Amino acid sequence: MNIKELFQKSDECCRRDFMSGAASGLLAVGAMPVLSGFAAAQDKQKKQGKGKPVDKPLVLGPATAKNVIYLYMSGGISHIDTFDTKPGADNQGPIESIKTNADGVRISQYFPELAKHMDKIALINSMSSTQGAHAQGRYFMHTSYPMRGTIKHPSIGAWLNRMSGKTNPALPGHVGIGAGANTASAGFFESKFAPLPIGNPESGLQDSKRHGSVSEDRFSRRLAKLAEMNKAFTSKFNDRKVRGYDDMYQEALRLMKSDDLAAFDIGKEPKELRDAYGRNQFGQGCLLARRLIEHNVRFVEVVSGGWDTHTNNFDAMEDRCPPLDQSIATLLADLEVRGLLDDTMVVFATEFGRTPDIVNNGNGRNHFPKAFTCWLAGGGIVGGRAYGKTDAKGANVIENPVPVPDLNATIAHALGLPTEHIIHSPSGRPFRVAHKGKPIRALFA
Amino acid sequence: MKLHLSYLTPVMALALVVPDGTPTDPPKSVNVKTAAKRIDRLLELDMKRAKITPNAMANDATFLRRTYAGIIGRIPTAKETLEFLNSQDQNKRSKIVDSLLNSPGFNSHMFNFWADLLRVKTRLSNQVSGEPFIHYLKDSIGKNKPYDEFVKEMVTASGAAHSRNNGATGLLMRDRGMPLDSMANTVRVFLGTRLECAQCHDHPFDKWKQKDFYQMAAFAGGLSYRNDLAKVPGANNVRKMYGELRQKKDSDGQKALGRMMRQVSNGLNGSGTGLIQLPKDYKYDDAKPRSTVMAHAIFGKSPKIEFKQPKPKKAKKEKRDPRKWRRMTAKERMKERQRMQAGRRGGRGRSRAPELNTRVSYGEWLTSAKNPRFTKVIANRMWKSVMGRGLIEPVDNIMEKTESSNPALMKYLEKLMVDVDYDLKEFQRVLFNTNAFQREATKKEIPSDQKYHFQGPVLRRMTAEQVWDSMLTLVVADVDTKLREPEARAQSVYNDYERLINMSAEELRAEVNQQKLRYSDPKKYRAQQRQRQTRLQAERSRKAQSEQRKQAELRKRAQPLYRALIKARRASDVAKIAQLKSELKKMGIDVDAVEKKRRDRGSMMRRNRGRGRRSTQLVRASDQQHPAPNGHFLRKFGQSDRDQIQASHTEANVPQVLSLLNGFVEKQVLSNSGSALMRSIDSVSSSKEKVRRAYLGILNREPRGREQAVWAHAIDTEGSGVIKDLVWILVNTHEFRFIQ
Repeated sequence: MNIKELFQKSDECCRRDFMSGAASGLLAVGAMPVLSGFAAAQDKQKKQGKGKPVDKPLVLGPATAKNVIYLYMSGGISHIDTFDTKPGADNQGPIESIKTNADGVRISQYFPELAKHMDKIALINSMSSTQGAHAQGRYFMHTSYPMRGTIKHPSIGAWLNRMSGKTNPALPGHVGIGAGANTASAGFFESKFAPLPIGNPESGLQDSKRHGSVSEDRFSRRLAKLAEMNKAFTSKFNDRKVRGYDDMYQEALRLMKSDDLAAFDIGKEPKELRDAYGRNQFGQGCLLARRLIEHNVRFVEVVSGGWDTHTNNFDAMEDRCPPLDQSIATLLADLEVRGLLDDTMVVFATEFGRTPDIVNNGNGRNHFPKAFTCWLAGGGIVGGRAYGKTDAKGANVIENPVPVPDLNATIAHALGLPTEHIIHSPSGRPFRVAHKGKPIRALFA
Repeated sequence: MKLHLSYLTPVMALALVVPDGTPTDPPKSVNVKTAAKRIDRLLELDMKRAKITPNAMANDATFLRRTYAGIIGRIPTAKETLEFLNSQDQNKRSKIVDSLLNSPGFNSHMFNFWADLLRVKTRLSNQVSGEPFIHYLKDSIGKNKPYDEFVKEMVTASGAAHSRNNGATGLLMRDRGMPLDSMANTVRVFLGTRLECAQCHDHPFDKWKQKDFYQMAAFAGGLSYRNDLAKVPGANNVRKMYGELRQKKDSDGQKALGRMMRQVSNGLNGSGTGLIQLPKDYKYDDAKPRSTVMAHAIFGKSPKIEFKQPKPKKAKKEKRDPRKWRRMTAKERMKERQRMQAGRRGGRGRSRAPELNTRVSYGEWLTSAKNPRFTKVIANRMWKSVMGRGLIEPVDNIMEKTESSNPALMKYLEKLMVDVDYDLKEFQRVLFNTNAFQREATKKEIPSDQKYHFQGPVLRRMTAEQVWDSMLTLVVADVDTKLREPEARAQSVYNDYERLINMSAEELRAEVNQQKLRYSDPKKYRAQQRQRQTRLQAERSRKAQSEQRKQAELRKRAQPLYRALIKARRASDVAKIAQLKSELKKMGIDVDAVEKKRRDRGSMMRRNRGRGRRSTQLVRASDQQHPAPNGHFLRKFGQSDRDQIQASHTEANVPQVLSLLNGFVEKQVLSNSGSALMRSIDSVSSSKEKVRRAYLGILNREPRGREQAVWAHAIDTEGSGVIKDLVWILVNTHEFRFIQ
């Protein structure tokens, strides 16, 4: 059964929830000039000393997307074996290419499902990076700045939350599923912009349910007594940090009671849908991402690992691409059916591509930052095409080069974040959401 | 006329002090009580000028909790609390400070301080392990190495990163491949000066120019992060093997050997040339891009460097053969060009400036008592660590115009640091003995841009490590005895390193041939690895089985003694019990140890056994992975990800609160029947006493007013479940997580 049927078959209550979620989603789509940027409009940084500039209040631009699902292929996925195939070239290797439902666009044979959704996807075949090592490449892709030892830059998800704020006050604005170290972070922003880490999508949000041995009644009685005990302390110490904890307890309790917490529970989804996404961490992570987006979590990153195929490239592609294909295709279909694709930008990113030359005894490809492929879908992107070109081998970018910051600038542009706006780190250094990147406006037309 | 103490010379000041008569430590050049009094006097003067009254002295319970957290990084147990509160000794406060400073907990807590500051990681990078660095830090703290020596060692370290006891290389290996960032970080940590802005342009806020930055970096000019194998004893075989493989044109073999030697090839190599090239986009008038600048320190007395003018070598005159050139490919042309350029310069490869030991000169300049910021920064950092706020804030952004909030005190602290010969333990001992430390915490929050006059310590939330270690105190009995040896995890790194460099030629060849498979036939390689794993597994289980059989036999033989022991325990026959225990000991069974182990493990382990679930590692933060994994309690509570300097925080967030409400507290403290606190409460029968134990163990004070009566009544009427409620509530209070 396809996604539409699955959706229609889902429980009445789920559909109702969805409808209410969709309503709020629809309201914010399109050319709304200023999103919930009113909170952000109070974005003024304290003066740090003589001569340091004060940030102007933030005004958001017209946005085509509200939320982002960021699918990250950790390790550097080969572009020639996935979305930038070179049929007939010597270095293509055993992987064939297939037609898609977008004219003139061919992709790897291992992505038959995505081929049916290519009309939504805009491939960027001309990505180019300067960082060829994993940690540096990952950092550059997430932050648009090269990795340094003296400061840590915020990743694109943290920028979004910082500049534009949360839309669902009960849930975090930035979630990372399956992400280890070295991917997204709050950088020099306050720690509240850091991604909430979810290791295993099936276990949901850690510790969000009352312990089994404690009844609802007992829990409330405990809380009442706790509030009583804290009163003396709070009245004794007039301190923002203490009040901060009172606030945080309120927020946590609100979260525990809120219906939104159900967003983290993928067990609520019908079995067939969960199967359709693929019973693996990435697949279930995509499903969780969709649920979170429905509940207005703004930026969800789902990480898929194991793409660093130095010595087993073709075997790995054969093993890993079909499940990836299934998960992402299901995600796109699911978002479309629920009407979420218009304000959700789906990003497919990786740190670099892999060498066009086949090395390591005909089995592998090494790192290749000079040219690789990422793609964007939804959130105002006009799909069904391939932007930028590489040469016949896939080794050089010959048309419309897109340096990594430009990709992030495009995402920022879709979200209405001004790419020229400067925010200062606590040490007084100026930074922008995508460094010097310029958005690719052609993708929106 | 007012007589200010500051007018008196130290000698006269000493004459005014009545000696206290019972020194507990060997005589030092600094008298702790005198120094503490001096500090208090300087604070009093400052407060008088600002018309501020000092806070009242804190009571014993408040003092104790603050002292434990401040010195050994955890709260005291109920027993430790009672011992202190009940003591009638006049000098108990000073004595507890001394005993805590001498305990293993102090080392654990100091380690966390350095780990946060030096961005310590279990894996410094994918090729370099951080265990040697961790070993070095723990060892230096344990030996109470003087701070100036400690810093100098790290800054001048050299050699292989993984070789035995060479963990001092860790400081610079942390920024492997980024020598400019490395210098900026070192200057920030030890001189409290932010140079990093000047890496790319003249500093926008401070007086440093880009050229100044490069001149500082020049002290480490020529530093290579590749270990010089020539200096490694026993690495001859490796070099020969490389040669062999190169001759055979065995590229897979070379790759395999390179990979194996990755552990060996990382280190610090080069004593410093004192020279560095400016970047190619240098835009200022004072020098040309790519020109070479000489090392020069940004303040203080710059070390003198004897630069030798290299003798100009006779350049080889070579001309290109046009016919050959036309037929070459681009790659070949590049190689040819390089060769000819090298020939013209008169040497093979890049021309090397002579090594002039400038790294040592830099280290001496950095750690000199005459360096205007070295002592100031550490004194200020220690002051902040003890009192909650520095005399200079922020602690690592000192500029020309920066002033401390109490210049006389800052000056005295610098002098004190020099007088104690940079003994950080002794310095802290003085601070912990001041009245200032013993006062009540200031009730009103002082904004960060306002001067603070230290009428009392600052209210602080415990650091992530302190919270975790305090939680552990509730769960694990004698948690400090579980601290591991400093070299515990570094051993395997050292052993692997030594194994590699001591391999004979045959062993190398065999290993290379096996590793080659990784590139030539990856499937076979993986199969081989799996076989190896299963073989090791089988061996391990065989060993375990034979061990188990031995134990079973032993137990069988000990059966009659066991039965007698049970009988004796029932009869409470103390003498018989002791006799039987010693007999069992002779057989090799230590009854007490076995029972204690079983108790400490608690029900958690029993439940998890056989389910393949690993219980949370209940060891102190200093023994955990660095940083703790994403989602770990420590990270939730603000432990740094160790990517930035001092990136730890003490802010509230939702995951923390969820853990306190539903997570760690419920699972490890309450539901775990082995938890030390619950056992301690269970061991007394009176409800009033139970309540008291809870308060003493968690908030480290007696219950106040009606607290005890109300809770005891609740336990009597509603049952023992109320105890869990009480414990849960106490751990969730502000009073638990904030140190007054």
